[in-house]
Amino acid sequence: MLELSNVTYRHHDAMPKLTNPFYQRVGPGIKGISIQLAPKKILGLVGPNGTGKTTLMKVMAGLLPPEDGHLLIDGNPVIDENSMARLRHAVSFMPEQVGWPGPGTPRRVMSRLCAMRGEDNTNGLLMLDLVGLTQRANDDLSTLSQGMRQRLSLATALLGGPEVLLLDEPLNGLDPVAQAAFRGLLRQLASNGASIVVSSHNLNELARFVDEVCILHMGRIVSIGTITEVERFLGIPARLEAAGLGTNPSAALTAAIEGVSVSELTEEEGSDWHLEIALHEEEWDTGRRAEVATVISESGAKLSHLSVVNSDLEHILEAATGLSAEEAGFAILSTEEAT
Amino acid sequence: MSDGYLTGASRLRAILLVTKHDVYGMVMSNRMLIMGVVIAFFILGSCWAVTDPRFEGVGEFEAYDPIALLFLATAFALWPSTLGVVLFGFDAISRRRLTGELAIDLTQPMPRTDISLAHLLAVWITSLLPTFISFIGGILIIAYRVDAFPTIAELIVFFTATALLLWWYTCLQLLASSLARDLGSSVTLGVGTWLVFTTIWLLVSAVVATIVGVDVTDITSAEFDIVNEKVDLFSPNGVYQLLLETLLPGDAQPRLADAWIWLSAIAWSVLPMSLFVNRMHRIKP
Repeated sequence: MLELSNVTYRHHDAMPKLTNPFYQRVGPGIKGISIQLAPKKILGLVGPNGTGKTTLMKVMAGLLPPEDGHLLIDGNPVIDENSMARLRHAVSFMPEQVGWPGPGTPRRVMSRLCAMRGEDNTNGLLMLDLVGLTQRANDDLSTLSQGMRQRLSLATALLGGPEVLLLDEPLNGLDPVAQAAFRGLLRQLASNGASIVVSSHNLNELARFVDEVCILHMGRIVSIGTITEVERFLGIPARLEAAGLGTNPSAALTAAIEGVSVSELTEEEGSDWHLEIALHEEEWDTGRRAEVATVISESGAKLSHLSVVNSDLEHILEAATGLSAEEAGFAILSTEEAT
Repeated sequence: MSDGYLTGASRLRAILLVTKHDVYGMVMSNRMLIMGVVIAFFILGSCWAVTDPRFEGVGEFEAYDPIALLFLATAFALWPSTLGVVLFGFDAISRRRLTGELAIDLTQPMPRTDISLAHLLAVWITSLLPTFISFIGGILIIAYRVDAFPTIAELIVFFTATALLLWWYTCLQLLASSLARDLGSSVTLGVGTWLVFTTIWLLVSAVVATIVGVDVTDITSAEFDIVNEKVDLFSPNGVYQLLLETLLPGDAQPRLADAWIWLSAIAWSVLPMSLFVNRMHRIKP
């Protein structure tokens, strides 16, 4: 399986000067990343723009050579042609927003890639069928919508049945129906044994289908684990959102349940109160949630809505960096420029 | 499923299949529609012109036999063919890099050397097709006008030299395309290189001749000719002309030994290709 051991990669940006036309500035990248991908798992790679998600994926795909540390496949460092060939067979990469400008057709694209892999053309057609592009297989690439181009990119990544699938912002451009189908397909691939890495800057979107998330900030891993684990690691309490009619149950909740803090949220239409109920150092399991419902009912209020709140990226970044979401997001560029 | 790269015949087959796909894409492009017509117009027109009874030759060189007439025609005809290589190849790497297609290519289980060779072959074959087809038409025009055909041996050397010239430009252009990070830089590098070798190389010869103390006011002198031929070894067009001159009658033969010319041809065939393949091994999509 694929593993990164203390990997560092920094981009070298061309910054020609009058005195040195070949001058390059060390730019952003990733630093000291160690991560091991597990089979049958979907890992979400999350972070603001420019934080190193794509760079990390390209290093994993063997497209960018680590400056420091090692990329390992089945425990062996990828250092020669043999290990690179093994990596190429095992790992597949779908870049963000491939242009597919043509001329050509999806069928020809797949046929060309099958030729590169020494595979039969029918495999390419099967992948087109899997992503729902059979009807458009012979259409010119220039006539495909953005969503269809994304599907074609996915089909190219699925070719050869990779053990590790690296998908860079794959949901961009897909309509909700295609997104649901896409999530189902990824779950199916993972249950068949594939290890999948999906990058996104939208944590809520990923929360719907990933097993674990890896939070990246300024080229480093801030935290990795299930969303709940990440939240607790960063000291973010487990939260419930509740709304209802009648008396506000804040005081009753704080008095009845130990370790709970309640804060008022903006009132929702059709409800008299709207609360966020935070539980420190424990989880909102079914029993706990039932306890909340009972306390609210006994306080004379009528509960109309109760749900667990997942943290968004801004929330997690604020917790991880101690900065405001805006500062944390923009810190990436300013700090890197200073180095 | 094998975890290694393809080997032997399967490897060669994979390279050729990818080449076939890329050639098809370029041959069916609008660019071919334009360049094909331009190349055909130049080559057929040149062959017609040099066989016109009123044509007085180039400089002091007058041609009467078919291969010499073909040689004269190349002075005009090779401009669009070499420019065609630049135009077919300028985005072969840079555009795929920009669109993300190169990243997909490079993650396939195919060695980067093979991917590079497939790109080279595709651009080379695409530019050879209109050039060779037009030259076959040109040879028929010459045969019709002077009632004689070049010999088979002469044709082999002529077509080999022409194919080599286009190969050299293909390697240079793809190297430029792989170095550039955008299409503008790629086409600038390609056209710039093409301009240096096609239009201002004589200036380079004149500068070198001046430095070594040869009179440059008389470019028909034997002394200048020797310097010019030596400098021409460093230009693809120069080597091409020298290769073709080996087919001409005695007084039009190059003064340099054939070995130097063929050595230079081999160097031009290998060095830019190696640079390009090496570049592709280091390219970061």
